[in-house]
Amino acid sequence: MKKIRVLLANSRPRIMREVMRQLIERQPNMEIVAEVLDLLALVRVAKETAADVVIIALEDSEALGLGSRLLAECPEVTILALAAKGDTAFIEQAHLGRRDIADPSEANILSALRQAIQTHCIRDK
Amino acid sequence: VENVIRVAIIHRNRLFREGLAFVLCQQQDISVAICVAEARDAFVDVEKLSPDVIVLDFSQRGRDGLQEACQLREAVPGAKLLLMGLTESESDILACIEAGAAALLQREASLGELVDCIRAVIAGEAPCSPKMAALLFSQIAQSAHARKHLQLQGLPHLTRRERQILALIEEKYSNKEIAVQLHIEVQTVKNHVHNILEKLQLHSRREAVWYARERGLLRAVY
Repeated sequence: MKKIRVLLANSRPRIMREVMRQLIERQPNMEIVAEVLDLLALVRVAKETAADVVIIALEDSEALGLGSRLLAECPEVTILALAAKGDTAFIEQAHLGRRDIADPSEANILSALRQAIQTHCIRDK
Repeated sequence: VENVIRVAIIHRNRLFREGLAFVLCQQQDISVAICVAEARDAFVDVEKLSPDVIVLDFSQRGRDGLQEACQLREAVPGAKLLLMGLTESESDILACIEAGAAALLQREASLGELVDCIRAVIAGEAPCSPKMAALLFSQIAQSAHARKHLQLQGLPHLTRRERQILALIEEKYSNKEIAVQLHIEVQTVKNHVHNILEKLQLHSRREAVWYARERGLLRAVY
């Protein structure tokens, strides 16, 4: 089965990046294809790695307009945006727009992400 | 495994604290006893479960977190307090050490460093970066210099904290306001004031401020 290709775009403190990386690596159907610290390189790396999912800090996604730029250039990508405080998270896709994840626990975030990818795949077929 | 280190995690980012708890539980010698967002949610459990190490996030709390840190240490005096997410601000570092932190982890510390730090504080060590060590060396040297200077003048030595409190008394702060300002308990302020009056052999706060001002004891408090 094809694994979900995850690109970590992260300006957070190192320890948070490492926890996030470990979380993804624990998922049997996910793999990290790259980690981007320089957000200016995000769109290019997302294209080069053919990432299915880009995980990004919500603050960067909104403040830098990165989310909309990314979806315009790579409409097949699913964005998972996580707030630094951990109280807000959302999924954004080109064709479905933005959906907030209620109660963003580890389990809820992963479940919302899997569901979003599934919806994407069904739609693409 | 014997001697498992019981850790309490207090961090507002739920995804992070759950992820961190998972990683720590993978270590044979570490277990996570408490995993909560706010210190106030941990008080009942810390008293009941007495963790060996309390990992408290400083990055999202800032100095407000110091008061929580003091309260946690009072609730579980045996627990080692590890503050994470610090910047390189010297005043933050000193304030955290004064609040009773056993170790400090800076913003760019790795997960591996956090795990090592937990083990180190239990072994009685106080791991810190070379920059923090340099800061502490300089503070101790300054303090020794000030003490020597005062002894030469025949003046009683007041600690940095005592001088800070005197300076705030001079600004007409009450004990309660000083406690809030310095992120310490009111009783601790009272103890400091008592010690100041005893050292200066005076009987009132006003006399102490006047005495200290006249002799230049309040200069370069911070």
